[in-house]
Amino acid sequence: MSVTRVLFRVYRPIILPFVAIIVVAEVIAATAVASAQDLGFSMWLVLGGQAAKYWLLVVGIILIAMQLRQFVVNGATRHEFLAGMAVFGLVLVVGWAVAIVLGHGIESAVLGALDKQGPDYPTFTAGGALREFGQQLPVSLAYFVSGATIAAGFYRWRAWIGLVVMVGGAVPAIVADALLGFNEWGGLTHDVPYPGALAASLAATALVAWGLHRAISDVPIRRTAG
Amino acid sequence: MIELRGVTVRYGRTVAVDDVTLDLPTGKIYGLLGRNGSGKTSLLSALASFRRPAFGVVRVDGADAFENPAVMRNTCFIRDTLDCNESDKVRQLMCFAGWMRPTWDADYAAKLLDLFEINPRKRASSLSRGQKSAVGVVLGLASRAPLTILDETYLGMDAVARAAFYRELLEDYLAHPRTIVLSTHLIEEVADLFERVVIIDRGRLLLHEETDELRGRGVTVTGPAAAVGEFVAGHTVLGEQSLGGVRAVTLDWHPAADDVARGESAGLTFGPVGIQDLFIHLTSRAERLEATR
Repeated sequence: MSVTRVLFRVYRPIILPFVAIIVVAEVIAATAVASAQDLGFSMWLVLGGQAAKYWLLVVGIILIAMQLRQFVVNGATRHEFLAGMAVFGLVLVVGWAVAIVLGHGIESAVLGALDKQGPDYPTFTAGGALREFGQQLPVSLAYFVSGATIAAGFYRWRAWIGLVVMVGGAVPAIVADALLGFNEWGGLTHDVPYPGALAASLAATALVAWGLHRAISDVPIRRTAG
Repeated sequence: MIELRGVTVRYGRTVAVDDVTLDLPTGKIYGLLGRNGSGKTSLLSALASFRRPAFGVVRVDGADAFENPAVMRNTCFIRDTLDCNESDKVRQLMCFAGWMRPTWDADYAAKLLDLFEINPRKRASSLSRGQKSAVGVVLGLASRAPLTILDETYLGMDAVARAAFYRELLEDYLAHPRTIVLSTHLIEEVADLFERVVIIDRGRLLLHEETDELRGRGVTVTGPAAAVGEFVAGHTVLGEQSLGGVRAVTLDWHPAADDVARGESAGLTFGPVGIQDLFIHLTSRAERLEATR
């Protein structure tokens, strides 16, 4: 069985509860706020967008700190693991970016039907959906790569080198958040044009991903992280 | 054929394995012996591609082993600590191995878990030291990997469990021949399983021989203390035991037929030498022999 398929089997009991928790939290929080006043922002963009990137950061950390050893011990090469992890991560990232757009669409439709949209609420539009997808995708990807790289630093090297690697590993997440992070209205938090912001974010992510590959491609398989 | 060519493993400035060159024909059970810190685990880590050697190369059937999917898929390295996450259940570990290993035998794994009385629903964190070792044994044997490496897998296992492990290992090896490398300190307990013995000391290869040849390198002479003392004079003594007036001396010497006849006429008996006695002699600091092969 491929590394990617095994990863999905292993993470299925984690992914499904996470999605359920976010959806339930969205319903409860949106209902609570909407019962008091019209919603002036998208609760889904706040909950889903923020929670997903931190969750992917943690998944990236766990993959290196816990799963790398498990796969190599069971006969996979480091390269096979990294390739499988990349596909797994991409599917999660793309899947959640789609979920963000769909969730916003559903939220917007429900609030509209209940006449609970405030004047500032970011009503769902096709253009807005495309922009949200285009922002969520690179941000999630950057957090995933940052998580994996931070863990790789501590897994491969001593703690103090790991700290240095952690700073470098955090760059994609910081750049993506600064340039592409969106607020509760779905808008960019700065004035950098989207193409430039996207290019800078992807470049930082690709560079650190390359470093991650270099760090893991011949890493000794230790019993524990650190 | 498994070939190690000039394999050197370093941890910073510490040289754990120093320029080891070794040919291991496949389809045999090897005993890897060495004192604490001699470099056994480091050598096995290089053999299993868990660690890239600082210098040298490991080849399996002519192909470089490191990061070679075909080789790594067919290699199973079980370390003395169970390589799993503490929160994993035994059942999950078995499933994982089944997903990843093409030669995995789930029925055999279930049988072994039953034999070692391991509850598959238990988490690794709740297993005793011996039970964790037993799970390692199950993972190693049921993987049926063409190259199976067991590094002090017996740690914490009681005598009954160890006996069951040795019996299963031999039976399964006979039914499914493959290359098995056993690293152990319980030499006498496992010596009968070894077809070949590899001894390393301070990171260097000291000896690699057929077990029978190794046993033939020495002899144990037993008889009246005085007669034994007279007979062994001038030969290297590997070890000795005395009980009452009877003395048993292990010698690093292969006596000729007329020597044996002379000894027997003096009331002495001759027996094979223990691998452990040879090991102690070869790795003792005072009397180091040159590596053979």
